[in-house]
Amino acid sequence: MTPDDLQSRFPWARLHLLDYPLRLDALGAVLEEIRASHSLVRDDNRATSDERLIGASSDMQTVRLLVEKVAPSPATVLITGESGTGKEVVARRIHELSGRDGPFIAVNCGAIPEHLLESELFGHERGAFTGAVTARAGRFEQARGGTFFLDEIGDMPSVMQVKLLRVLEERVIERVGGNKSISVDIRLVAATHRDLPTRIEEGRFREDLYYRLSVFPIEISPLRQRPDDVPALIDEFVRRLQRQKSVTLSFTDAAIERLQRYHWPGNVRELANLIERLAVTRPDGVVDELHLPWPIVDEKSPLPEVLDSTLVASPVTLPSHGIDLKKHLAGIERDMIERALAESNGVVQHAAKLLGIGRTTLVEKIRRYDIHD
Amino acid sequence: MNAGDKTILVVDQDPVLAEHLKELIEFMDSPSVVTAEPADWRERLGQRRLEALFVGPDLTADDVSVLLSDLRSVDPNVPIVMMHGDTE
Repeated sequence: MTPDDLQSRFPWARLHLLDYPLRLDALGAVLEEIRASHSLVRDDNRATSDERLIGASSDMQTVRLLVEKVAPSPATVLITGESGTGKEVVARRIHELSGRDGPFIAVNCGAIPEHLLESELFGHERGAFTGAVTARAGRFEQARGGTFFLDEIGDMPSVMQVKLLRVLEERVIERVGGNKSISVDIRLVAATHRDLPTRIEEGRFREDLYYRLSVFPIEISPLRQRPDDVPALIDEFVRRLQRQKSVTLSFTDAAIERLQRYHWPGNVRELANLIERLAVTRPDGVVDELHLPWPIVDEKSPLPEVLDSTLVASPVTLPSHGIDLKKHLAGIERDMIERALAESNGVVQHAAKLLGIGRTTLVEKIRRYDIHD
Repeated sequence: MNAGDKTILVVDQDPVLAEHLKELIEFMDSPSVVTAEPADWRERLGQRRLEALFVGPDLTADDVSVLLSDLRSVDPNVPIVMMHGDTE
C-alpha cells in the first residue's frame, strides 16, 4: 500500500512512515515525535465513569451547578484553578452532559514546541514540511461534533494564540501547508492554572483571546479552601482502590481531621496519590494519624535536606506478600515531583531546583510519569 | 496510570525481524517494547497501554487492514509507524 492509499483507507490513523532498512536518525525522529505527541495529547480513552465532581462544599456545589447550566449550550468555557484541582474532570463532565456525539479531545498546550503544536492542532498537508509524507487531520478536525479541551491555555505560544482566535471567531481552520478553509463544529473548553489577567499585563496573553475564551468562566477553588470535601474525596478514592485493586483501606477520625487541616499544595491529585501510596504502606488497611507522611503530620517542619526515611513519620510495614519496590519508589518520586511543581506554580526550572535535579531530567520524568497541569 | 507503563508494540510476520526492530527501538531509549505477530498482538500486549504501534515491512496489505481496524477499536489515537522497504 502506498502512503496515500494508507491515509485514504485509514483517515483516522496517526500515521508515520519509515523506510526499511531503518536509519537510526529517522527512527529517533519518529520516536521523538511520538513522545512529544503523548505529552501533548491526553489519553482520549480515559474512563470517565470514575471522574465525578466530588464534594459537598458550597464551592463544589457551585461548580456542579455551573457545569450543568453551561453543558447543553455551545458556549466556550474557561476553567481556572490550581494544579491538581480537577480542571480536566470538569471539562469531561461538561462534555458528558453536553449531548454532543463527537469525541472529547484534550490537548496540553504547554508541553510541546510551537512548530509541532501547530501541526498537531491544525493538521498538515502532504509535503508541508520535511517528514510530512502524508496529509493528516489535526486535533481540531478530530474533535468535530465533540468537545475540544485546551489545557494550559495560558502557556500557549503567542503565534498560536492568534490562530486560535481565528478558529473561535470563524470556526474554520487551515491545515499547515494548505490553503483550504475547513469548517469545524467544536465546543471549546480551555483551562489554566495561570492568572490570565496578569499574563495579559505582562504581554504574554492576548486580551482579545481572553475575552473570547472566558464567555463562561468556572473557577475551582483549591482543596485547602474546602476541607469539608476531604472526607468525601477519601471515600471516593478508597472505593476506586477497592474496585480496581481489591485493596481495603479505612481512615480513623484523627487521620481524617489531620488530612482536613493539611494545605494540599498538589490539591485533589495529591490526595489521590497519597491514598494510593498508603494502600501499599498500610497492608492492614487501617490508616491512623501517625501513619500519615511527614508534610501532613507536621506541616510546620521544614523540608528535610536529605530525602530519606524522615519523610515518613511512622515505620513502613512490609506486607507479608511483599511489595513492588520499584513501583513504590516511583510513586514516591512522582509525588515529590508533583509537590515541587505545585509549590513552584508549575515553573519547571524552579521545581527542578527544589528537587535538586536538572531541568532536562525533570522534564523527562514529567513525561514518563504523565504528569499534567 | 503513567506513561512509563506504556508499551511500543512491534508487529511483523517474521519474529527475527520483529526482534531486530525491538532492539533498535530499545537502543533509542524506549525501554518497553513487545513484539508480536498479526494474530496474537492483543494477547502479547495484555493489559499494557500502547504508546505506539510499529508495523513491520513484511505484513501483507490484508494483515495491515485487519491490524489497523482492530487497533481502531482499542485506541484510534495510538501513533502508527509503517515501515516499508526490502527485507531481503
